[in-house]
Amino acid sequence: MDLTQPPSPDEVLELLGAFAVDALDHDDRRRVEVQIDQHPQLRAEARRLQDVAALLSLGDGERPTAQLRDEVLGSALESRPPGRHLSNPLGPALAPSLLFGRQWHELDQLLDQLGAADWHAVTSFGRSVNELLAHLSASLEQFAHELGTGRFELEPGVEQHHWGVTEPTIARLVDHGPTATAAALRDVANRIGTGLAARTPHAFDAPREGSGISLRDRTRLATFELWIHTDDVRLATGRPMVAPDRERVNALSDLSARFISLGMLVTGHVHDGKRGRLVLTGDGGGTWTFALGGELGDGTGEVVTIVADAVDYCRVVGKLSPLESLTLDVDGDAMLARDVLEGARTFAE
Amino acid sequence: MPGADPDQGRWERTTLLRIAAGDETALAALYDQYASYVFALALRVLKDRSAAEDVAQDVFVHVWTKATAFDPERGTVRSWLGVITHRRAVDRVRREAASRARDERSNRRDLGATPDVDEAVSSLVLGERVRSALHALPDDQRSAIELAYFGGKTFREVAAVLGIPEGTAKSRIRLGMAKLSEALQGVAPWT
Repeated sequence: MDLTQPPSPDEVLELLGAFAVDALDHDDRRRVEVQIDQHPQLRAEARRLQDVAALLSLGDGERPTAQLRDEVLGSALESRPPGRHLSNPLGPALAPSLLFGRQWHELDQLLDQLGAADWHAVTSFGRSVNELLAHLSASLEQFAHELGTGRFELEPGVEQHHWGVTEPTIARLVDHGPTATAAALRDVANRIGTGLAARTPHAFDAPREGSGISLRDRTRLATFELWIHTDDVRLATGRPMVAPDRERVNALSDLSARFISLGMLVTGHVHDGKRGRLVLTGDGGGTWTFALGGELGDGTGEVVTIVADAVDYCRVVGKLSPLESLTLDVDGDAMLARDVLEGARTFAE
Repeated sequence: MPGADPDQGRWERTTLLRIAAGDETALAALYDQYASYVFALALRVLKDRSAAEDVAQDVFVHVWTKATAFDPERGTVRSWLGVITHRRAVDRVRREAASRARDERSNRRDLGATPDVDEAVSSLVLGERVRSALHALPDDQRSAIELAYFGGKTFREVAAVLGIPEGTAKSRIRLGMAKLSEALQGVAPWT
């Protein structure tokens, strides 16, 4: 082979046997791999021959010692702690202000693109885009209030749930039209940004009076809602949904996973002593273990493992997508898995 | 090879995705499925149980830390593991050979006789099929494949050992592998 020229497909074909049994030197192998990537037929043939090579030591009947299993698993966990996705080895480390800021930037840009008809499109929550964004504005105003950069007071007579408390704002903003809604959103997002930027890093994890969650998690919660509603607007107006970057996906997955036990208490699906494992795949995913609504016990109880794509899972938990749309693998009791997912979906409420 | 098992392929892909997501139970499941295969392959190349266990450990730690490198378009998990195992085992043989050569002030080291596949293959059904298929190959093709795969030699080195042109060594390996593929069609449960 002339090493200064790329090998022809015929030359590569002739090398595939040696490729399959790993009998190429580094340069030859790289040149073959380049061609394989470009030619599906060569790739298929390489795969076929590699499968044959994998057979060659089959049936030797040789087994490693029993203790090797523990040594391998121990060594693996020393080299990389479990729980964190390879795409995000440091875990959900994105600063809260960046987390919120990146997500807000996407909605800010989308607002510029919405035409008059888009504001009337119906979202997955059954409300118009204008109503949904007015609701979001009110919801964010509550967060700004907590940060000391906004004012939100419950109006008398409103229903005391996530949507109910925002209805007066929805009515007021919708009366004034889309321009008012967009302006209100931009205003409150700016104030939240100011409030977050003013906090020291320590403040995000310190206990907060009157609140069961840290400011870090509260920021994630607001960011999660921002993402879900932004994607809902995209969907309603015929635009493709956009997954957040892996750091945001990881932070939002982490928040929703840690909420599951509480969510199962809310739905009344309590299974004392049993554990759940949520494995969210794809960039930003990870693995979480949690009690199924009750006490974890001695940690030896039955386990149900749910495996799903991280972004798809978050959209389902955020009630943007129906539960039935989620492609998932379950190891263990399917009914337990159902209880887990129903508990997880109370997150959006 | 035709007749791929979609359930096995899906299990493999999901397991690798779970490993990438930090699920250590998925690594344990993969180990349980493939440890014997990885160990047996390493042992065939290294001919040393302790060294083969070291390689098997390296392979599974590699999988745990590089699971996203697996590309299902390029092949099965088994063949991916096979490539990693073989490469590491051969690298180890070469490192040890180089070290021994330095110690003995010798430039050459005999990697050992070509393993006798007939002796090594067990009575397992699959092993019998593999043995038969290998045995049915013309001697020149079989020895070229064995030197390459179990002897850890490149096709150029195979040519030198056998005293044949490089193109002939390349062709013998290719023809032998193609014949094995036909003979073993549908044998592997994972294909």
